[in-house]
Amino acid sequence: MRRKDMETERRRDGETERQCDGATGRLGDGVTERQRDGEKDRNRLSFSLSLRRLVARSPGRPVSLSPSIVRRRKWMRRALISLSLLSALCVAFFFALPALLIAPANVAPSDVILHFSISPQSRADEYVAELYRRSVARKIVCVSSQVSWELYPGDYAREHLIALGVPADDVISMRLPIEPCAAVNLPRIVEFVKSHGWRNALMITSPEGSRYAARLIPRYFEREGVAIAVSYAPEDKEELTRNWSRTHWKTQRFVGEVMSFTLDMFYSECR
Amino acid sequence: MAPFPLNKFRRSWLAQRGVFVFAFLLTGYFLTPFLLNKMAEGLIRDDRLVKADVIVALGGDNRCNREKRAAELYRQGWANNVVVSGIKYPWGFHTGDAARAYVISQGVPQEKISVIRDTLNTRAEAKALEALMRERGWNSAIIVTSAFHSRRATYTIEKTARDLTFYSSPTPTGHPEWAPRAWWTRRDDVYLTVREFISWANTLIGGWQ
Repeated sequence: MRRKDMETERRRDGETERQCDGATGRLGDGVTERQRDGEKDRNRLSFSLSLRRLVARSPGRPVSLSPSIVRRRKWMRRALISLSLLSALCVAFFFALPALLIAPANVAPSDVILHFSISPQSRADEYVAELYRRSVARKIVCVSSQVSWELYPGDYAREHLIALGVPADDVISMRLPIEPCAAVNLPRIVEFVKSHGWRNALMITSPEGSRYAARLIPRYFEREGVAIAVSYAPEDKEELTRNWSRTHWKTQRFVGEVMSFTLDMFYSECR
Repeated sequence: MAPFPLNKFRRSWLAQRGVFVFAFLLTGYFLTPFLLNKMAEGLIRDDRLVKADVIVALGGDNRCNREKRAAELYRQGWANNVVVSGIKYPWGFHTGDAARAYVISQGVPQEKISVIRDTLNTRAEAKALEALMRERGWNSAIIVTSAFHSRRATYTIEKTARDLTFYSSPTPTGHPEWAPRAWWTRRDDVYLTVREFISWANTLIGGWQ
């Protein structure tokens, strides 16, 4: 019954449209119909309708806009809104990087400190020496890969720690091969720790790598029965997060960490 | 079985769009590897070698392949001087010194080698190189760097010193170095390629210095 009514209504609308188009030559009826339609839709917040009205009111312009243009504008508006939202999300994500990547420091008494935070900008040696003096651990291992020809920063960090008062017997430099991601070297480090009979380790890493390290590294250590905590030098965090979005090397480190973190998920050898 | 009516298909919005999306995805599937390879190849700039005043091995290669290539070009007689670059670590060692030692081990006389110091990125390196070239009166240089970095490095240096002449001669591609072919299949190559595109964007908009 209702369908029949609708069909009748549609037929009547079609006739009215033809009248509006001037197909029948009875323009007066079409105008009346349009006015009635306008009244009916006045309260609707339809973009196409308001656009049509706007055009109809502007002097010297044709009365109607083709539906395809109206549809295209509607889609363009939607696309613009989506793009703006996406850009806002990207900006928010960028400025949230320090909060997302830096985990709370977790210092636990251990058998050994694994010192990974060896970089031109790091001041972690002093922090590691301080932890040693506070008897947080009995041994320190400086872990590094080659940065230039036969040049391992860990060797120099060891010398520096000795200069800071740590006995030479308690500091070891561990050289690792260059690998595409940290996870490839982790089994070697676990083996090294186990071979010395250490059951607890404290890893000192760079602040921006701390959350990822705290998520990834325990998986490798704990399945071999070695407990591990991840921390970083507070001075490094302070320096890294100060005015970071305006400093090239700081932004580069945060963005690099996000890239590493993301890429590692896609490659089985790095997970 | 009755054939599918063509008229009905033409009028069907969903069917038309469906065929378009399917064709688009199919083309994308076969075209993507080609486009990705081309994009990566676009990062490389390899000029025809010309005799120059100096060969410059840019820093940042922990395997020293850039320095190796620079020494090779020196031995072939493409220039009479070599410049290496590096950064300083806090406890008194400099990667530039290690690079210098390596170049000497490759047969370059030590009086022919200069070191650019404290260069944390390509733009800083370009500025330091320009100052050194003007000081020594050198007018042309062969820039040696990794292949993925070659176009941007040469572009940055040329932009910094517009009146001097530069030629790019990158290190050979292939394992363990970066390679443009199917780069998305190797974790370290993906990292280098994506980072290079980001760096290009930063260079072009003049962002972080």
